[in-house]
Amino acid sequence: MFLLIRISQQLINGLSIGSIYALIAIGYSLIYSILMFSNFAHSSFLLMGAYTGFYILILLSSSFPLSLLIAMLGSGILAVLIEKIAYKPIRDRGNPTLYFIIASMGISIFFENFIICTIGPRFRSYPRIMQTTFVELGKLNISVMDIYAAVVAIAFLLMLSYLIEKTKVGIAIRAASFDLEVVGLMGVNTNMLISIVFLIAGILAGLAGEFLGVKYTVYPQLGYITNKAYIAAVFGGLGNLKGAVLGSILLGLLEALITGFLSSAMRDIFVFCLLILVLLIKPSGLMGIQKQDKV
Amino acid sequence: MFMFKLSKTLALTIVIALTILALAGCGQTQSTGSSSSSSSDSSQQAKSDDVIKIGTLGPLTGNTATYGISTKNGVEVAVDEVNKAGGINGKQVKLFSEDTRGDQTEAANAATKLIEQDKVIAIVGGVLSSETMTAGPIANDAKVVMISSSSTASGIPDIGDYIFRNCLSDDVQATQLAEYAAKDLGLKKFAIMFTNNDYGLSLKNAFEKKAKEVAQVVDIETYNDGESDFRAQLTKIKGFNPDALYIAGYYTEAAKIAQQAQEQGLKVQILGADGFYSPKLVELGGKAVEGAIFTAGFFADDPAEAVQNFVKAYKEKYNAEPDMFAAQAYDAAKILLSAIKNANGAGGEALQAEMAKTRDFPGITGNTSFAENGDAVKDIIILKVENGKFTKLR
Repeated sequence: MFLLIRISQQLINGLSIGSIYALIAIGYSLIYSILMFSNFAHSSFLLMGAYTGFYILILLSSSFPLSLLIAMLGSGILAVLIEKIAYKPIRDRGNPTLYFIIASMGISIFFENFIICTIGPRFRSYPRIMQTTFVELGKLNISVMDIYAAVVAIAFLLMLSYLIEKTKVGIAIRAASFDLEVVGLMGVNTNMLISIVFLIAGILAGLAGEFLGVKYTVYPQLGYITNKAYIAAVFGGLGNLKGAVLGSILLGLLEALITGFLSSAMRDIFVFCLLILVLLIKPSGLMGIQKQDKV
Repeated sequence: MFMFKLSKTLALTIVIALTILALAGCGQTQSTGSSSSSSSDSSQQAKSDDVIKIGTLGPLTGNTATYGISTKNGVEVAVDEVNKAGGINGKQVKLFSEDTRGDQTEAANAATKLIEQDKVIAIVGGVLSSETMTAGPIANDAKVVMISSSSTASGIPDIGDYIFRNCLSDDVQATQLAEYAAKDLGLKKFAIMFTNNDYGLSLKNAFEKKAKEVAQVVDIETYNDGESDFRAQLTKIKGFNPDALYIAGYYTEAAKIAQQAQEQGLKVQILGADGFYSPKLVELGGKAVEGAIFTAGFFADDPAEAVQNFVKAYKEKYNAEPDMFAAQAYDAAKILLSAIKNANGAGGEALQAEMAKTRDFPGITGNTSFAENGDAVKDIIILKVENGKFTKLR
């Protein structure tokens, strides 16, 4: 019985962090599915959300849902701006994918240090919103903030699923993930489509950023969590949205269970070894499809 | 074509504007303040020989920057005081600050630059134990005195004769707290969480050793600097039903650990070391850190005149409360500047000899003497968080 409670609590812990990973991993996968590069500037979108939400709550004393909305918009706009300023010129010149990756890494480093230099390196605490209140289910403890974050994350993932599966924009995104050039030839404004993809990725990262800020604290290195989400996206199959969610949930659960039943010191070793193993057996990830390059 | 050129120009303008903004911001947070400006004024009038050059090295960027900036600020307050009082033997003190980003390789580079290029005669640093471990031998080989105000790991004073420290060693503070917790507080079962670096490991080893002698250690968990989610470790700890949780790390993570422990329904006495001492602990941790007990080398509410003068000067200069890092750095700089004065502004062997002679230096973190190996001999304070404020237990 005691073991069952411990397992259940660790599963809750894993699902909680996994749902945050999912919001970030989907952004990685969306961008990868269309532009075929890993956008390491994703951490900047997350930071934008965390800091925007923080200052909206502190300076305007606004409600949490309003600050969440503004944080998401802020991150979405930043994502679109970065795409227009940094990636579009590379795309227009037909430069190789490596250029995108280098540019994205540069943006990530710049943005983190820009925050350190302007706002400062200090850890900042969000106003207390449901922060340390928890629901007791028998011997299990679930944070109210975690429930709220999970519900909002699921709601947004369902909305995104509807957008991708049932709308014209979604069909265009899915088509572009097969061949962006052909989609352009068929009359779709590919620049607009890419902007929409970045907007969605930014909005989801902003959402994750504010939740992370509220649950923990805001600091310039908060964006490092996107590294784990990237691993989750690769784990599930980079470019596959369902795979990104599955990979994130599995990664969250794995981390919690390894820490809880083996050792916290061994957690990252196990996770990375498992990732290597998955990539050796199935290089495209759990749900990724092996693509053959057409010559 | 014109539109493309325009958008390129616009993009370039935005990037340049942001870069200038960033540099301007860096200037605000990382300038060496009035100490460097006052000395640069004097250096325009006189040769570089007419200034005494000292350096600081520590993380000014990266995820441990908050500690490095506090340390640098503390040194600046001390340098300002000395310069306003006429300097040392009529010479102004010029401060050079190097950023290590909390990285060992960068720490070695920073030490080399300060010694070879800036020609400093002494260094206050490193901030992190790992930095001092790599920068220390470089300073020692160059016969440049180095005093760390926060590198608490064991083995640091043994780097060499030119290496000193003005902080409580991990061994002393962890051992004393374990004894106090078991004997005075009557705690029987301890769990330990430690940050995976020299500081955390050193504290963990010392606390574990003593706690096993006087009580029982039921579980030990680790975490990395900058980590945010500790619930998996805390769930595991909860299964062992401990009386106390000793967090061998800094306030940034400790606050989050305490909050998440509360969320998990883990009712334990939170214990910690000098890394807890910062007003930020309460700001970040809120009610979750209420009742936390930890060792410290500084207490800002101490009514002593020197302490209150420092707190006032620090607040005026930085519009913030000084933490343990700032206070210990201030004292380290004052000890160093006093030794430089006694050595008639000389560095090298003369300065090392004066530093080694330090006995009962009246600092804001208590009276400081140096043992034969350069380690600080000073009293330990035990503090408790009560009603969102720090109170002295011992």
